[in-house]
Amino acid sequence: MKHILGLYLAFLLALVLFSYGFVDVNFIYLQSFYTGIFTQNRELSAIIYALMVIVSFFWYWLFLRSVENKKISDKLFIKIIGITVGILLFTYPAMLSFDIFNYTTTSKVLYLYKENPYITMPIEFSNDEFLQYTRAANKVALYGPLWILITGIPYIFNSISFLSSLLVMKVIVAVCYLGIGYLIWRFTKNMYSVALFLLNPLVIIETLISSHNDSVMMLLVLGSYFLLSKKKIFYGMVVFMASVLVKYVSIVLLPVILFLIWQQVTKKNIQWERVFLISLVLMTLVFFTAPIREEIYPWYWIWVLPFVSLLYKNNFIRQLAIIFSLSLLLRYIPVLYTGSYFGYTPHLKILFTFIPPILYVIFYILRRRFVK
Amino acid sequence: MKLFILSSLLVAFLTFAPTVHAGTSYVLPYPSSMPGSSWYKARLIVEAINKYLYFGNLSQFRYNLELSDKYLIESKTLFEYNQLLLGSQSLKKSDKYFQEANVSLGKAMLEKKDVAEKMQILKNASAKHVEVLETLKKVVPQEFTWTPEKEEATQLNLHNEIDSSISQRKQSL
Repeated sequence: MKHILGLYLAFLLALVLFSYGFVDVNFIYLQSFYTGIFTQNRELSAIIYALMVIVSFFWYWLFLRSVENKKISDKLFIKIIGITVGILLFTYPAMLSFDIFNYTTTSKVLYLYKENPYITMPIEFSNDEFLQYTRAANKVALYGPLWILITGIPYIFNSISFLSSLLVMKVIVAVCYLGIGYLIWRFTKNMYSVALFLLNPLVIIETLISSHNDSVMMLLVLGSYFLLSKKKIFYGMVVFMASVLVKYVSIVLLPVILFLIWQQVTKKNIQWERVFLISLVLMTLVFFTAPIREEIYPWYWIWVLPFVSLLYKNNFIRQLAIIFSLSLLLRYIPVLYTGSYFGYTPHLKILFTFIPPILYVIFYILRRRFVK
Repeated sequence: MKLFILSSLLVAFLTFAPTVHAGTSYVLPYPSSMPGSSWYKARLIVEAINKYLYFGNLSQFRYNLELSDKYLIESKTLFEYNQLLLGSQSLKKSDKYFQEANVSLGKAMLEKKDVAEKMQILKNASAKHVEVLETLKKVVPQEFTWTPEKEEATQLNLHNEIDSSISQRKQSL
């Protein structure tokens, strides 16, 4: 096991190294790290990225099997999570997505310039250096006011350095990632279900590396479910509203919340598996409506994965969710390879995203039909 | 001879060719709910709330200019429907918000924010407002005494008010 952990540690360090190959030439704070190696060698970056994803799913499979077969103690499992979080905190966060710069830029619009970020766009501050590395600076704030308030915490660290504020942002998201794991444990008392979420490569990449705020929203969603399970109706409602004020999409779970409240008020029994299943269906439906607004982004799958973990006993859901996690991560390959979002890239992205899960579904149906 | 004819034609063309004044590209909003409508009070409440939501001088500039545009169109519509007193009141509101927009922009400039684009927007807005106000002068009488039932009469010096609004806008051109 020590050798295996050593190899895993080496893999994580390789991931950290790989991420710095994507440092933006305009990101002045890490200019000494800029090599341009992957922006100038797109085939290489795509190949290495694909290998990294495949290896990460190998580790995922290995750890899940070990947890399931009790070859890993709870203590060791926590150690693995700790190592994963601790090392990946130091990855370059804009490897696959630039959202973290949008978070810091929006907080600057509010906290430095004292302008309403829902009215004033970052691009209106043409002299500010953040425009050099922020994408989508021509948009007003896309997230809820609570998230913008939360970004005030990393903003305080701007006085030390911008890099320290980035690190604090990553710490906040990492804490929420761990919090989701904790809440899954509180519901299931099963380490396998916790590992299913915490060690999912999509969750690791989109939360611990790219620091998307979807884990913040989902922590609050699960938190509200947990509070409602303990009959704390008022606090459950407040925490749920907080999740909506981080990212609006969680509002689709309002019928579930109202149902839970009703069940508690009328002192009826709650069938939690059914609740998690309905929540999973609702979030999946919203996930697939994302193209109406823009496109399916891999990190949106974080809305669904906590419920998959809570329904860990359902083989079909679990395996399909894992396959889809893989295909969503492979979705980045066309952009990495071509360096463009146009031309064949959108079509390739669709193929990468949907072919693996479709194949799995066909395989599942055939297996059920012919193998008993 | 040929050269003389061609030159004469050219001079004639340049002298008598129709001139087209392209209106400024700045676009004013559609008329919203009017005084007397059940939605008008709700609109006023929303405007009052928005005053606090549009915090920051750049946001305030946008808020004030949007309201100046809105009340200008409101006054135009009211004048066209011979609601001269209401039209005059709306025009005064438009003037007030236009002034506030200038003040917000000045404050943003003192904060060393980039206001170049906003100044151009204000210039375009001023030109558009002047266009609308000048057409209004043709619609409304110079003076009018508004005499409602059971209330005191109000003397409206409409052309003076419009001229004052025009000169206020021209200061921003």
